[in-house]
Amino acid sequence: MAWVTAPTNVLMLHFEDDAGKHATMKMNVANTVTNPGSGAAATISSDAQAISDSALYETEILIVAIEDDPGDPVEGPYDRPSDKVLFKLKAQDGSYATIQIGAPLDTIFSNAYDVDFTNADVTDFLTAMFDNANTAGGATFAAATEGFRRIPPRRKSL
Amino acid sequence: MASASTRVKVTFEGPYQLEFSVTFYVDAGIVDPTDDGIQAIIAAINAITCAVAVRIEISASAPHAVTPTASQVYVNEDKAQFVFKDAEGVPHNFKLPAPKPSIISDDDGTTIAVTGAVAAFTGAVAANAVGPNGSVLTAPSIGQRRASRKALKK
Repeated sequence: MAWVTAPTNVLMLHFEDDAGKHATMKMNVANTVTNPGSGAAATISSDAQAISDSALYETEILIVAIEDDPGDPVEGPYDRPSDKVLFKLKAQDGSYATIQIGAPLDTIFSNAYDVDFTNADVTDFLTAMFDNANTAGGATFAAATEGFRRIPPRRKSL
Repeated sequence: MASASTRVKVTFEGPYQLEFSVTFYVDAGIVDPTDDGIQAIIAAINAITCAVAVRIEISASAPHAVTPTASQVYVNEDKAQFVFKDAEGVPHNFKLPAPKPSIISDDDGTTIAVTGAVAAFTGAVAANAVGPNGSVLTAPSIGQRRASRKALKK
């Protein structure tokens, strides 16, 4: 099992005109171009803005990797993407964020609805999030306040 | 200036080949899919879902504090189209939104000469962009203004 990065990255220039409409210009760049604020990305952005009347409000770089041997998924009572477990996380700055994961294993629940926060895999997941993830604003996470299974749409019962 | 965080979107595939994605944020500047922190989160998610991770997409962005030109002549539906060719002769189109009127020929209102600021842009693209398979691009000698507007329904 290994992650294989794509041969090129994607550079995206996001424009907004004075009517508020958005447009995006995409191009491929070498996979060594990873910083949207400097180097090749900054040069292209600056030169593009010089000949456009719209506002180039964001430069974005997409980096893609594919798992070449992902292993086999397993079946279970909640094995469809529409079945999700939702965790609500509180950040150090007092803000909240949620993360939803599809096809949850039934072993992480204490009943058909509530997450079992004593389950070892659940605690490992939360530890990984607290140690490595942020909110979009850059704040680290401090605690999980809720965890429950979301009922898929159009299903009448759990 | 880069954004405060890097966005990571991981696609998982469950049984029956059905997919879903999970998005989270990590420290700005982390752009390696094999980063230990990203892999730790993915491994932990793999342990609580029936699905397996198959694709990682990392988005690093830099916002710019700019405003559009007031009452601009050409809007985002109008494009400056430049056709670059790679070493195999395959054309690659790049369309820049809302070109400045000053770069468009007065003679026909369409032709864009690759000089000055336009040449700087096409040169930067040729020097730094590549084809989807990594092939080197050659800058064009001319560009065209294209209007992409929906026809009015009668």
